[in-house]
Order: sequence, then structure tokens, then C-alpha cells
Amino acid sequence: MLPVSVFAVKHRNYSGPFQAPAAGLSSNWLKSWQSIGKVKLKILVTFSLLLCALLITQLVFAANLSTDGQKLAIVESEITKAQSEKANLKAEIARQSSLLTLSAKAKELGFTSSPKIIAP
Amino acid sequence: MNRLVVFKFFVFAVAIAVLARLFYWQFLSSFSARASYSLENEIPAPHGEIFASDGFPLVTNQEAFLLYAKPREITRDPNVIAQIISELLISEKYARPPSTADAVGQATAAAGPSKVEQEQKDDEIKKKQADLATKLSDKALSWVQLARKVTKDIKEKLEAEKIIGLGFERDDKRLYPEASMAANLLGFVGSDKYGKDTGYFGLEGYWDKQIRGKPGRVGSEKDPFGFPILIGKYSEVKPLQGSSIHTNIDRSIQFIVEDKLKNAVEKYGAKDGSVIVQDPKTGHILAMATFPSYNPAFFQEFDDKLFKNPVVADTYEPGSTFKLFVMAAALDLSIVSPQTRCDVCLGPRQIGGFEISTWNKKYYPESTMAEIIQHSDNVGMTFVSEKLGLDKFYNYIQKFGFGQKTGIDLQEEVAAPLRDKDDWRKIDLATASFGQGIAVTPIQMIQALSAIAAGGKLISPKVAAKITDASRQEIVKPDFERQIISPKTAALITEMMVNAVDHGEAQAFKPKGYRIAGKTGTAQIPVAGHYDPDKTIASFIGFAPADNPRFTMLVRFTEPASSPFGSETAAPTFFAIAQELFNYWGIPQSR
Repeated sequence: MLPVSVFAVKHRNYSGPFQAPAAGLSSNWLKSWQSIGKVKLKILVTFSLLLCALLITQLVFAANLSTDGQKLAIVESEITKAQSEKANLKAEIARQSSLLTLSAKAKELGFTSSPKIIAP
Repeated sequence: MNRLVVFKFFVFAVAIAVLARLFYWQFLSSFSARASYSLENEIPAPHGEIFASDGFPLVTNQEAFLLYAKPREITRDPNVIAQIISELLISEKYARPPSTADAVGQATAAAGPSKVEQEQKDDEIKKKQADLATKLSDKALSWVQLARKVTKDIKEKLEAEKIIGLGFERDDKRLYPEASMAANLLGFVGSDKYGKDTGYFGLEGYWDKQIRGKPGRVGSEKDPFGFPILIGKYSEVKPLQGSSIHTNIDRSIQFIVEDKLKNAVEKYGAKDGSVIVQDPKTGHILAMATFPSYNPAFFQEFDDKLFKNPVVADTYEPGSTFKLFVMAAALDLSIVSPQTRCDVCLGPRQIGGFEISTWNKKYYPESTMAEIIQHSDNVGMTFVSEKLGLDKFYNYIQKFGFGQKTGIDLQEEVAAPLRDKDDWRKIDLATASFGQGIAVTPIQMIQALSAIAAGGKLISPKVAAKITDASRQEIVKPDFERQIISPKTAALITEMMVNAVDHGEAQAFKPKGYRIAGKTGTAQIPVAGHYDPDKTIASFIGFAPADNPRFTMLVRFTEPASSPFGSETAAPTFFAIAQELFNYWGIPQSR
């Protein structure tokens, strides 16, 4: 603990509650007080910069996420379209290759039932 | 007191009260109040498919849509909109071209719709227009369904009209690439009372729970007005497609059978006809056809009497085809042998006050058991049934599966229960011995016949071979397999049946060079307490090749007009189909 004499003010040249330290105080204490202020400022500035950086990073990620979400929606939509197309093609193939269709086409082309079939 | 302090206190108290209430709604009652702010929409699941044995889809799904309107958002005159879209929303039968599978269809396609058809179409358009105009004009509705199962091409035409206030939702419909083939076997998908797609009849009805799948859900939050909050909580459960059914149906055999059956019903002037083809060694149904039938894609336009599959749902008196099972019972118990002679076959018999005679009034004294089957001798069968006795007779017909369901996987099967044994009189035993006074279903008959073809083993028939979905495959096994008569008995009966085909009344129609086991049946139909001599059920059952059966088959006609006898209607149809099957499978002649 510092001695009381350190804090003794021998001569006041000013009035008011917030007074500059007396010229009689040691310059070391003043320097340390001033350096504390600088450190605090530095911490504050650093913290603020960090916060800004985090905010910006979060914004960038959020923006990417939203666009990724849109890309995902587009891809899913294309998948659904492709699946729908596949189902439609499958249905069309089934229609065209049905025995009903083939039988009708065979008749159109002049095919008839064979009167004799040679079995092994 | 300082008024400012009082005012501050009042504001503070109100703020506390609001906060407390917000706290209550946010945290304490969130679960019970979920219904008031959450919105759940069901995502319908696609139905599973039904495949033939070659992997061809007999039933699949087609992209279709539900057309809805938001009357409050419609800007055009609703009557004008109704006029524009009504023609696109009428039944598909007016839109599709007639089948060009035959000359009639081709001529119809070339000529265009008939006058009657055009009038029907115009009527339907008018009705549709009126209905649509009513719905579109009702501004009290925020959402109204206009049509379901609208196909993609119709959707594109509607979208081209650029009508504000109309929208579409996915609402897939069933597609039947083979049109009406196997319609009674497949069944159809309709709507239940809640508007949900549900299978009815046949395979669609029987396997509905597996085929329909599990619907998905989309959950979101809504505001007090019911509008979804887009940035709120969102949850989705994807729908699960239904399982697919792979059947034993051979598409080519089904096609052959349907073609021959249709021609035969028309040729013989029958009310209806049915054919079943089964593999006796496995119980698999290879083909099942009924004529007349319907198109499951447009089932609403057909008489609902056609939906029920008569093969599993209709009972009939089998007539002489039933003699095989009575004789098999007597042979199996060694009560008679093929050489046993009938000592009552001199002429008609009087039993219980009724006269029993043969179908052609011809009598063969001292007939052997084989000759009784060959001549289809009713009097001879009463001899056999008397020797058998009621208890053993009843026991054996139950063993053959009569009086109970076969367990086939079709929805509408009936059991055709037997009358209680205590209610049987002497005359009942006598008439049942030749298939009158007893009711059976066609599927029971083919199951019992297949037991003879399979060396005495009764196997329950099945249409489905396996059920598959994304994660599993389940083989469909028969419900039962049991030995009901000895292989020796089966062989003896088979020889009797071959003899009946070779020397019986249908011998003129059978294909040359093949050993076919078979039996004709002509049963009178009971009408108002007596038998009508002019109305018959004509049938033929059999299997081939007799030594190593590849198939069993039943052919049945109801009230054939050209001839009442099975030997002149059902038998020729059987043999015509059998010849096609021999060619299809490349089965050589054995004689």
C-alpha cells in the first residue's frame, strides 16, 4: 500500500471535483494512470474490431446460407422435375409396349396367327 | 399523493401485466395452444405399382393434378371461365380415341363420335359448365376444388388460358397400360368418404394398406388469420411410397385367355364367362379372366355389378365336374377301385321321393368307376356316394377345401359355406354326388382340381408372388400346403379324367397328340325353388399334360344360348386355350 504522502496535494492551483493531478505527484503514477487509459482503449478498440469482424463473418455466412438455400431449392426442384419426367416416360413406354398396342400394330402390319407351330 | 407517481405506478402495473400474459402464452401454454398457431398439410404418398410376372407394370402411376380455384381472386367473369374450361374437364372417354385393336375400332376412329355420343358429350359439358360457374361465383369460398386427376396435357391447356385464381396441386392417378386386361383381378383405386385414394376389389382392395404408402406432412406456423408464417418453424416428413406387388400373372397367357374367352362368350351367346389358369405345383394363378369386364381407369362409367370378381365372389352348382372329388374320396378310402362295378346303374333311381336319371337318359349296367366318369353317369355317382356315406363324403369335400375360403389374395372372396351336416337328407347326398344342391366358387374348384394334378397336395392359390419396397422384399407363400389324398389316388383319378377326355362327349374337340385330363360339367340353375332345364352353367375343368401337369384350367359359361352343355361350349374353349398354351410353352405332343 502506497504511503498517504503520495496522495497529499501540497498545492492546488484549481478548483472543482475533477482536478488535474498536482504537479507534486510522481510522474510514474501519472504515466501508469495514463497508460492504463491507453490499455483500456486498446482493449476496447481491439474488442470492437473483433466484434465487427465476427458480425461481418456472420453476415457473409448468412448470405451464403441463404443463397445455398436457394441453390438447394433449385436442385430439389430439378430433381422433382426429373423424377416426374422419368415417371411420365415410364408410363409412355408401358403404354407403347402393352400387348394391346402391339397386337393392334401387328394387325395393321398384316400379321396373323400361325396355323401351325413346330414344337421341339 | 403525487399524481405523477400514481401515473408511473399505473403504467408500470400495466407493463407487468402485459409481460406476464406474454410469458404465459409464450412458455406456459405453448403445447396446448399449438393447434392455434401450427399448420399441418398432408403430402399424399404415391401408390405402389402392380407388376406382371415379366416385370411389366399392369398398374402404375401417372402424373395428374387437382385443379382448384380461389373465387376471391378471380377477376374474369366466372361464367366465361366455366365456358372455357368445362370442355377440358369432362370425362376422358370423350377425349380418348376409340381402341384401334380391331376393325370396328378402326372404323369408329375414322368416322368420329356417333350422334348419340356427341349428344352425351354436349350434355356433360353443359352440366360441368353449370357446376363450375356455381363454384367460381361463390365469393364466400376462399378455396374450392374444381376437378381431380387432371392429366398433364389438360393442365398445360388450362395454364395456357392464363386464368388468375386457378391453381394446381399434385394428385397422381392410376394408369393401366393394358387397359381392361385383368380388370377383375386388379381392382381399382377410388376415393373413400374422406376423399383419400383407396383400393377397391381384387388386388388393389386386398393389398390396399401396403400399396397406399404413408403420407408425409409439412408443418408450419400460422398467424391468427390462418396465413402461414414463412419465416417461422418448418418441419417436413417425406411421404413413403407404397409397396409394389409382383404377381404371378403371365401377361401373354392372360392376353390369350381374354381373347379366347371374349370370342367364346359371343359365339355361344352366354351371359358371362370366366377362365382361370393355375400352376398346380405352386398354387400360382397364371391368368384369370371374366367377360364382360370393365376398364378400371374409367370405372365410374361402368355398372358396379361388373366390379365383383365372379371367380372368387360368385357361387354356382358345379354339376358333373364335382364327380371327380367324390370319386377321389371313394378311391382314397379304398371303398371302390377303378374296376368296381355299379350294380344300380340299370336305369333311373328313386331316392327320397325324387328320381335320379342320367343327363342323356342312357344307362350302362355294370359300369366300372372309370366308365361312370367317362359317361358322366349320375346314377353311378349315387352308387359311389351311398358307399361313401355322409360322414366320409362331408369330411372329404371339406378336405378338398369346399365350404371355406381358399385364402387367395383378392378382396371379395366368399366362402360358399356348406350346409350343416345334420341338415343333409338322403337326396342331398345323392344330388351332391353329381354336383347339384351344393354351391362352390370357381376358385375352390380350381384349387381342388390342382390337388389332383399335384399328386394329392392341396395348395392355397395366390396371385401375388412378392411384395417389394425400398427397403425389403417379402415372398408371398401359400397359406397352406397339405396332402389330402394319396399320390396313388391322384394318379387313378387322373387316368379316369384322361379316359373321359379321350372317349367322352368332348373328344371331338381335343387337340391331337396330347394327354389331357378333364371333365365336363352341365349344371342346371335353380330358379324360384326348382331347376330350370334351359338355364345351365356349362363348365370344363382339366389339366395338361396329364403326366406332368403344367397348368390346371377352369372354363365356365353362364346360360350359353347356343347349347346348354359344357361338352359343346366350355370344352372346346378349354381345348383352344390349351393348344395356345402348348404352343406358348413349346410342349411337344406325347402321342
